Amino acid sequence: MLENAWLAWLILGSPLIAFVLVGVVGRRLPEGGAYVVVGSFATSLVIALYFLAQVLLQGAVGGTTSFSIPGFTWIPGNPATVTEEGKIEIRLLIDNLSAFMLVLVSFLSLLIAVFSIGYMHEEEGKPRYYAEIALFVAGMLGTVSADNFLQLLIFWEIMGLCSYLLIGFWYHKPEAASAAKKAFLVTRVGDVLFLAGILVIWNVFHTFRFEEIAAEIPVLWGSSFTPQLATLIPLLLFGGAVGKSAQFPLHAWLPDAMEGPTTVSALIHAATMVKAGVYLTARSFVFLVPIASGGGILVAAVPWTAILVVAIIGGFTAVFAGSMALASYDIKRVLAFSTISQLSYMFLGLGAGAYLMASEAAAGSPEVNTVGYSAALYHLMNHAFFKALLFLAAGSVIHAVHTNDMREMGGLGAHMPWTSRTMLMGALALSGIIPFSGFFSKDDILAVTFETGAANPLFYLLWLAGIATAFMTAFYTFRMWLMTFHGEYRGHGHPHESPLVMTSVLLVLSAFTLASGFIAFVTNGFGNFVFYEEPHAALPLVTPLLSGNVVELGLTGLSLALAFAGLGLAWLVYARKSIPASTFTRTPTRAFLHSMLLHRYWIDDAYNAFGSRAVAGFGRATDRFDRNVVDGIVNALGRGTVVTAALADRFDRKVIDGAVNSISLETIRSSLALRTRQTGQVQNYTWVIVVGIAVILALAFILGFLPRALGRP
Amino acid sequence: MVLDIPILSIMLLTPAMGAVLVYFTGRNEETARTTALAISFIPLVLSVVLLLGFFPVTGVELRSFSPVGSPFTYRAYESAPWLPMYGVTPSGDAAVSYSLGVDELSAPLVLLTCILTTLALIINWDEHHRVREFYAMFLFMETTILGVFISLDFFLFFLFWELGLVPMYFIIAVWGGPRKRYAALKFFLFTFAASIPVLIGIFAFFAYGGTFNMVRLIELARTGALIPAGTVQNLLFVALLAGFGTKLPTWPLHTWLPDAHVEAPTGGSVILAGVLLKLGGYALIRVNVQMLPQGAHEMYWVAAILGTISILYGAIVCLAQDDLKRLVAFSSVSHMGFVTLGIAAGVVASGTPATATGGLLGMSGAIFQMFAHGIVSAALFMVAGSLGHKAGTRNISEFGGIAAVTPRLSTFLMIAFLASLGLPGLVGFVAELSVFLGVYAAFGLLVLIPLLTVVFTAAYYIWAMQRAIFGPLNARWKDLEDAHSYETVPLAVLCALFAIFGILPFLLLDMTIQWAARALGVA
Repeated sequence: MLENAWLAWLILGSPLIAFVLVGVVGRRLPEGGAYVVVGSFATSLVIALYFLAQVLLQGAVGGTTSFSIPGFTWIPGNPATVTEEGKIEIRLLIDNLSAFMLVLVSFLSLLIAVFSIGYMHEEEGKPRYYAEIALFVAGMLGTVSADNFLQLLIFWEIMGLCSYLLIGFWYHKPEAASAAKKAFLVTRVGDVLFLAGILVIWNVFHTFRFEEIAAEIPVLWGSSFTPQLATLIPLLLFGGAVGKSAQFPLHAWLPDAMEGPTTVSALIHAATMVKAGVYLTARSFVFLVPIASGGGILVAAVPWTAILVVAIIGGFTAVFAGSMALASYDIKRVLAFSTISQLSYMFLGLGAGAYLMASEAAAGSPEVNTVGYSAALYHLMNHAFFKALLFLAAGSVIHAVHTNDMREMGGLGAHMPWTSRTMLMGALALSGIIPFSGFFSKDDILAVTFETGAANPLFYLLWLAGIATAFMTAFYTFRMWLMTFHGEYRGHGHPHESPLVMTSVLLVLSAFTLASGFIAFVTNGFGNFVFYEEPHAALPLVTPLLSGNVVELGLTGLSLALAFAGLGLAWLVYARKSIPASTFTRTPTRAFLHSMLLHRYWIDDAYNAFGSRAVAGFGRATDRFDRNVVDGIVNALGRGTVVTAALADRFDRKVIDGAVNSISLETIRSSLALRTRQTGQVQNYTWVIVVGIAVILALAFILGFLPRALGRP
Repeated sequence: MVLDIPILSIMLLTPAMGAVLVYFTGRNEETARTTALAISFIPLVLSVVLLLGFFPVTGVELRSFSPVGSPFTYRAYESAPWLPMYGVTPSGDAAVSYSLGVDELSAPLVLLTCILTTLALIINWDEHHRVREFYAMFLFMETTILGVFISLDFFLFFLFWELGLVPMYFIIAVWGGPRKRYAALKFFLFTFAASIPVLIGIFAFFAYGGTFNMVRLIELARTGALIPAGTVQNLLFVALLAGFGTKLPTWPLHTWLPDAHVEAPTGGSVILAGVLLKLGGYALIRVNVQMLPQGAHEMYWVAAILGTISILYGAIVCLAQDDLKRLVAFSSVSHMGFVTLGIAAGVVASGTPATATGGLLGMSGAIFQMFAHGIVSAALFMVAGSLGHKAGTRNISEFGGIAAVTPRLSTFLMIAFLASLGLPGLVGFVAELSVFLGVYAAFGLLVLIPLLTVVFTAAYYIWAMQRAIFGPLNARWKDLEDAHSYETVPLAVLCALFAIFGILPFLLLDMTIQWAARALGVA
């Protein structure tokens, strides 16, 4: 067992303490508690690094790489069973995946909190902002260190709450209030599916713990773990992931979520929370590619349909979201669409990876090929760095020009040299230009997808979607960068470079944007950090370039060429202006397409109409039913009761008058003394009670004999 | 430490005597208030002691009583023959006895009653109309409600059950809103009519068991010697479901609730939603499940269907409400549906060994939901009442952006809404999760039907928040008062309770699961 295991609790405890502290006395702290929050994130980072080092060292010496850190029993199990069946515990799980995520999350949170000191300096509600950020980070760290699915859901929802609160940070703006509502409700739809998955899991396995489930699957396969459930469970879990990671059809909330402060967009809606869906899908590999009891893959229990759904949603959303970014004029929304599209790459990687892993096992290969899994998480890390950089740089721009609209920017490169240069690094990484980090991981995902095509040709189609997305990504990214920094300034303000506290964060992030791609080289493959079931130290992550595999080299060349083509097209349109931007709207068909993209395929409008007409209308109709029908009957009955009560009252006064003198009745009398003149009528009903009790007494006396009279013992 | 004092009698008598005291000495408003508040702390402290008695760790030991061969133990037990019949009944018990005691089912509800009574007294600190009568009524009501929870004799039980209507009637009719007469009468007649099946049920139990003693009746029922399985039990189950379900309230017997709440003063709503509704749930478990076990196994589906309809219907109707109090009232219908559904799931699932654990969670979830809904709805009505009191309206559409002027009240509103919509980490989630786990164990994927409520509930609360407290500030409210200390204190206490029981639910679930295992015969 790992020493100092309790320290792991401090990873999420530290921001939680900061949340309470800043929430209570934030107004009296300097910068609204910013330093407290920064300090707490730094603490988390240090401890997380310690655990990552431990996990990697243990892995290197062949020891156990998964540590379960005890907590407490949340819901006790069945007391009638020795094993306390169904017990639900709160524990932490530190393994390669969670240690890696903990470091990533706490590091990015720290950077973004530092950036906030500059960005949020002028804001009124700073204590609220920092308190909510701290709670969010506690939630995110809790999510990625959860030992079981339920605990994951608990922290997942806490993140969702913070996302809701922070999107609505400027709650006096109607758009912000509306966007917050939308984010909460749309993700809630996914959460219900996740919750349903939780219910099924517990009832099948009587546990939520990842480790126990993995061990139970081969045992219960064929009995209570049926093929239908094997497909249903990962699909329901994926439903949660779709909501959280804003995949089609629950993508609509993320672009609107840009109403929050840009630091929030960077932290929650790019670098961390939206990745939780990918993390959940990675964790649900215990269902997607179940492990047999003697090692290897339990091929019979592989839910092929569920895997395909993950991959198809990923491939489709990549193109779908990428296309919407092409036409947007809002700098943050371009980045939001791009985030959705990049998350889709990760799902595509996970789906293709799972399919490849399972189909190779089905073909009899003894090796477990986890390349897709690692590639997706590799992209998760790289994307976290370069997208945080892009968002923060966008924040720096917005801070300077006070607008999100790129049509009112332009030429900012001259005024904001550091922001411009660092954002360029992020843009190159996002576009997948070698040697920036995005290139390596994106190329890995595409390579895995293509490779899986041999097992199922559908993956060739998904690969096509992937490279089409690569082209669009390069185009919209450079359209954004050029519209912002190139040419003449089209706005009316006086743009200026942001303070050092902000630009230094941009510099650190751009260093990582460049460097994180090389981690795989230095460590001989990314599989050291994340792996599935057993360590795979030397995954062939960058081999196409090094090994000289002609086919894969060709694929890499193709996607690079497309990325350069996209970049070049953007250059021609928005820098050289040799192709006027109006080309895209010239014919009616093109104008229609442009309008379709601008209106996000009208899906948001459809959702709004459904929400405000169908759902609210249904509510109103039911309310009318309740008032008129149900309550109508009740009122009629009520009138009947009044009559009956009055009759009974008259009867009782005459018949039973004065006959009730017992102690219990005196008690009631004394309470009657409290009655007031204006409610004198109630006297009647109180009498009914008195009579009721008298009747019981009378009947009790009679019935005392009845059982014996009826011959009962 | 063995506590050999009649704790329950003291708890029962203190508020009633306190009511008399307040009525006669409270000519000065301030005196009446402080006296009433001070008195309410006595049962509160005792209820905590009572709860500690269930945990051996604490070293608190109460008089306990366990019938021979019974798995159940009743703590703080007191019993004395009261009204002897002609001669002695065959069982040797007096037909009517003064029997009090608590078990794991009633102890949390006793605690809930005592907490909410104290808080309700505080939240109405600014009541100036007939103050001493007002406070006397609340104390008297505490006695009647505690009486129902701790009585182990049907005679006492029914006495308190009916007596409880009187103070609530007055609270609504004297201190209520514009339509108070209508609402009070509706409340009174409606719940009074529901007593008929209850009365019939009690007679039937007496006829078969020869005693009003509930401990004895439970033992008889447990061994199958009370009412033979079949039509009689089934009919009684349904009749009592209707009777207790009115109090709960379950669809379609719920329509008294919105009217009563809209007209009741804040403290009255707190007690009504927080505790009075729980009488129905408590009785449903105590009587329908414990005394009609076979009837419950046959007729569970009535409870399951009514519970599911209540859950969804209440939530859907909430979407159309503009009055905050009506909104919260209908959400109560929805949330109390979990109690009915959880009970049904518990009964069904515990019948099969493979799903027994789920059954225990379903039943425990129902009990936990009573506690959870008690504290959450209390907070909801406190906020709605305070806002209504300060603004003169409770209509969501008339507010807008008030978070800017009333940050404290808005924060409490938000926390209470979030607790009610089942945010993990707060108390409501635990209850809903347990019930849903039980429902899946019992009915499989049909759980998806009631699960839909999770979206509806989020929708009406989040939408209400967007319209009422967020958005641009409506200029009409720029001078709106924020919460006073007498509003902040009870709300802060309740919010702390949300978190405590949301994060550490085992505090109650340890007890209730043990109890459920015994009551449902899971061994």
